[in-house]
Amino acid sequence: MFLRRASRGFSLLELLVAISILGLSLGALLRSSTTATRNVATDERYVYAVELSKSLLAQYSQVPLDGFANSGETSGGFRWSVDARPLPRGETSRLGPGALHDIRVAVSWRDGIRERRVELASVVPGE
Amino acid sequence: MTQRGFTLIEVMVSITILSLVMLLTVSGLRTLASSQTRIEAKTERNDELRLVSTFLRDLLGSSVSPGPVVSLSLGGGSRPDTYFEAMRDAFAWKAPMTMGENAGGRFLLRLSREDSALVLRWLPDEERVQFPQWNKATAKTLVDDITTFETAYRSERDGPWSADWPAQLTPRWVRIRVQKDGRYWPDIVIDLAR
Repeated sequence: MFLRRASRGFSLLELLVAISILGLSLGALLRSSTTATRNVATDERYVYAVELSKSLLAQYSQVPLDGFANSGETSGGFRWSVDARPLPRGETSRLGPGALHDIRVAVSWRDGIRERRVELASVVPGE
Repeated sequence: MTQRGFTLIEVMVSITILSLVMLLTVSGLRTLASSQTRIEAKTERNDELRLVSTFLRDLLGSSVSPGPVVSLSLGGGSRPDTYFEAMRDAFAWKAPMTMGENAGGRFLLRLSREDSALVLRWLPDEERVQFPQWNKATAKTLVDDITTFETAYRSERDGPWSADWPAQLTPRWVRIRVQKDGRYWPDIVIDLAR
């Protein structure tokens, strides 16, 4: 009796369970690799946006005395804006008005349904 | 009864099911492997972009800047303390660098395209170097397989970018444009007087 049971083979139910476990684990693997692909694409856009912001900050490293604002869009779909305002001066400040500006560079882009954004801030001289 | 075995139909059905399952498994694994390769290639590209852009920004941003030069030598040295030479799609400058066989110090550097590679060459900044001998300089490839390398210069905030620039004149801004794998990198703009 025992020997007969041991050589009986798999039942249909057992096979179904085994195949469905295989399928589920494969599905999980595929999903994680899809997530990784998407994350790398997001990372790439972040790299582009940060490099673009750094270049904009370097480009507007000197602004007019009364402030400055500009914006645009690159061919890659990145919208950028630069906004520079004179820093408030202290009472005893020896700097002229508009000698220093608070500058903000923002780059935003659409990633699927999400809106992503990188912002850099600095202080630049006005002239 | 227990010795009966399978009928032909049963064997055919089971082989079909098995082959379908195998097909799904193998194609799933293949997709996994190829997406792994793609992810690695893309990560490498991103790293390269970030690394090279940051490196050039640092190296050019710390260039020995023109402007009011305070000379400490009493003899009134005639040797110019700043150096920037704009060329068409290449330029050379002087900057401190902490890498290389010397522990550091000032170097004369040149960034240019050689064949399809973006190459940085450097020479130690010695006295009385009138014409740097770039073919004897240490060379390092920064980026391989570029399709475009363009440089532009300007000296005024709202002025136009110009690719042709007088070699003796130091611009205020430098713009570097690189295209690799059919994609343009974000323009690298650097303020030299910063």
